[in-house]
Amino acid sequence: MELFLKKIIIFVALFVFLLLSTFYLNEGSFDVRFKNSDEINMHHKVKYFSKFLSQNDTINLILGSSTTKYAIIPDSISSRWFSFANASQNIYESFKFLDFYKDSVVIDTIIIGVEPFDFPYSYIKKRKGDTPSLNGNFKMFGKDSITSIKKNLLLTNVAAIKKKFFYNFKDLTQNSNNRKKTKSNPEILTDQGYSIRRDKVPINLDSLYKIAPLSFDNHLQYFVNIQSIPNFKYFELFDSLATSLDIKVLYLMTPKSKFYHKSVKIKNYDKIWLSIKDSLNKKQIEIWNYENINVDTLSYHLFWDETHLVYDGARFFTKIIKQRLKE
Amino acid sequence: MLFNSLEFIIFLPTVFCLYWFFFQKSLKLQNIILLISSYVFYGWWDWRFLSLIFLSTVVDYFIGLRIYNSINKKVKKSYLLISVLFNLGLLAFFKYFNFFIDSWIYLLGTFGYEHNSTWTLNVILPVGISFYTFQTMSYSLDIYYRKLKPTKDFISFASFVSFFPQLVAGPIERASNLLPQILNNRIFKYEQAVQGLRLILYGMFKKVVIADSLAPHVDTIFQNYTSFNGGVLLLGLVYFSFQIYCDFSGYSDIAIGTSKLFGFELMSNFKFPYFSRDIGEFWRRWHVSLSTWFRDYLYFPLGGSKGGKFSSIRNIFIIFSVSGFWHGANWTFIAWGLIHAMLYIPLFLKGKNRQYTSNIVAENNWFPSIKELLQMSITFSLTMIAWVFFRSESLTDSLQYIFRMVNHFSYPSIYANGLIVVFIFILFDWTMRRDERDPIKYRYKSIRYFVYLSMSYLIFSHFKITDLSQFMYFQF
Repeated sequence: MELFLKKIIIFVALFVFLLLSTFYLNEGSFDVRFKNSDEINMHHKVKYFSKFLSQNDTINLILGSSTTKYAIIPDSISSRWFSFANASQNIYESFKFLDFYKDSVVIDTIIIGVEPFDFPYSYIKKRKGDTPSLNGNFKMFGKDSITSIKKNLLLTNVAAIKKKFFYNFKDLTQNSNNRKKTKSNPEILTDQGYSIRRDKVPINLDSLYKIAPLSFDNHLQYFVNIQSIPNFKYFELFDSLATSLDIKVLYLMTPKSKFYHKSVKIKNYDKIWLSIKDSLNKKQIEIWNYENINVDTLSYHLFWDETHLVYDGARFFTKIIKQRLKE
Repeated sequence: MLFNSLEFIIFLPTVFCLYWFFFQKSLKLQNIILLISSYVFYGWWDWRFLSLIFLSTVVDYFIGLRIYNSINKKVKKSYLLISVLFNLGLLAFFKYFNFFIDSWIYLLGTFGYEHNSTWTLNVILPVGISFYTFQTMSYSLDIYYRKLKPTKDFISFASFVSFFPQLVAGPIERASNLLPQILNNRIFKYEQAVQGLRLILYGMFKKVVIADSLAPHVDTIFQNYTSFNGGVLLLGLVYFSFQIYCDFSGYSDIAIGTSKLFGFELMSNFKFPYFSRDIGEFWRRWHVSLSTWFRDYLYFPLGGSKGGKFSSIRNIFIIFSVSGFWHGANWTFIAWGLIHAMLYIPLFLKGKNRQYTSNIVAENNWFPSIKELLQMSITFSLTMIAWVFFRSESLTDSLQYIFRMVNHFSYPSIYANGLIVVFIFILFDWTMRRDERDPIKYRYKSIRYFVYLSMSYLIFSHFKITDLSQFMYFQF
């Protein structure tokens, strides 16, 4: 056993030396600080939004998490729409954003995507990893105990370092045209805040499900800290602020694939979600529910996973939203 | 818990230390540690399904004892039947229920009876159910056939059923091999542990570096096959052949390697199948634990090849189609099995199905002969064609894929660079082909360490920290 442990220690030391050398030879220093892509995108978005505000007296907003961010193209609706939907953005963060800008501009309409993680009993207590979902970059709109929650970026940073400095066969197997693009930030931002993901391609969900069904359970983390009697405190904060500002709010449920509904049902989360929807329906609010639209109209090639639409899917869905807004 | 996850990187050394440093002196405590670790390992995915494993363990534990203690043959048989029905019942419910209902409704539809499915259930397939049900079934069968004495030690039996290295994707162990190892003291052996680490390293390399690098190409090509020319479709097929091999054999290597670290020897599951010279040899090298399971518990009881040509052919068709069906509730898997049966039967009829039973190709040479190269290429091409059915979503897709590959063939202008990954892997695999249980066994220490470090570097750079990829065989 002694010899075994000794050899393992030698090997690990050699390996760590190899990794550090590779890193140092590439970077010339060990002092590297990474900003995660969510943070970078957020800063870009704030800049674009400031510019947008300077050009418009009255605006319309799209808020919500990534499911909304990638589902609606504001540019296709009209020049007065801006999407400030960001990855993992919950309704409390949307509230902070709205509260921050409430005196700067007149907002006519808001479309806000609602997801289960907008109704947790707490964002602070009993967090599991980075759930309940939060973007984590909203302290710029006001610091408090929720916006100050630090996301665990260690793993994200290690992943970024790996991607940047260490050789990967994917660099070889990807088409040379795409190689440089995916090394940097994969998102392109439009002037009105829509993000196009260059690295996300449409997939045949049925085909992938056959070979890797466990790939379809990422969304189950949406339900962390959600109890059978959901907490509407954060929702009410947002809704009452919007009402006080005389903003028309449309609460949106974005399209989801059948695999989303399937695994939610298997985990018995469907009852919780139903209870949230029942409570929402009883309120004096307008709800646009498209979560089951895919069954008849959205084919598989419009999704990149069980909950997110690719660009073509967003184009398709935006048409529907645009039409309904006209009506 | 996945082998290719950060959790496992912490889990394995922790269990290793507990097992060898704290509980080394007590076999019972070591087995309890194994049992708890196995339940933690499995429960990490979904603790609710631990109850299924526990239930399967309890049922087969008691039935095993009853079969052994019964004097009356009929009673013995009845107990065996209960065990088989129970295990197959679990499989039928969790894995095949919807398939049977859907097929039934489709059949009714072809006769003009429209029927909306109200019976289809939203049942999640418990990971590894096909593996552990087969393992426990073999225990009862072995006791029935007097190949094994049942154990009265419930903890040891439960450890055998849930042994974490091979619980979710095999190798499907026989009680006669694994159970005695659990019941007897284990001693730490340096050579065995080193072999274990080498296997883990090579298995990780296959899964994380090769299979996961090829996966995006395979997914894109198979999902959009109508948009590509035949050359690209051929590439997709080559990539999938290596993806599934590296994914599955990678898992087996890690499982066998991990077991070695704890002083256990599991059976080999993959013996370089793509270096086979005919289909017969391929099936002695591909998923050995499953094919021998079907051989021992289905093919032989059906009469094997003893009852004349007709019944032998019938038996071959049965085991290949059942083997296909075992992989999943889809007609494509059955078609995959039947194709292999059709490829195997000509060899069987000529009496050449067992001509390469012992040695690996070019065992004492650096390179294969022209004849061997040709044989390997033909065998690989045949298995590759069969993979279309395995990977495609439906039979129609499979046939259209092949049709398009042949009829729209032209030079693939895209995706060809993935061949470099395949080529690098073949080189590695070729140099290690003499011993599947101890890879990276090069004569010179400097070469060994160079390979260890290179592989570790590549595993590190390919390791997915935030978005894990599952092993394909989990759902089978």
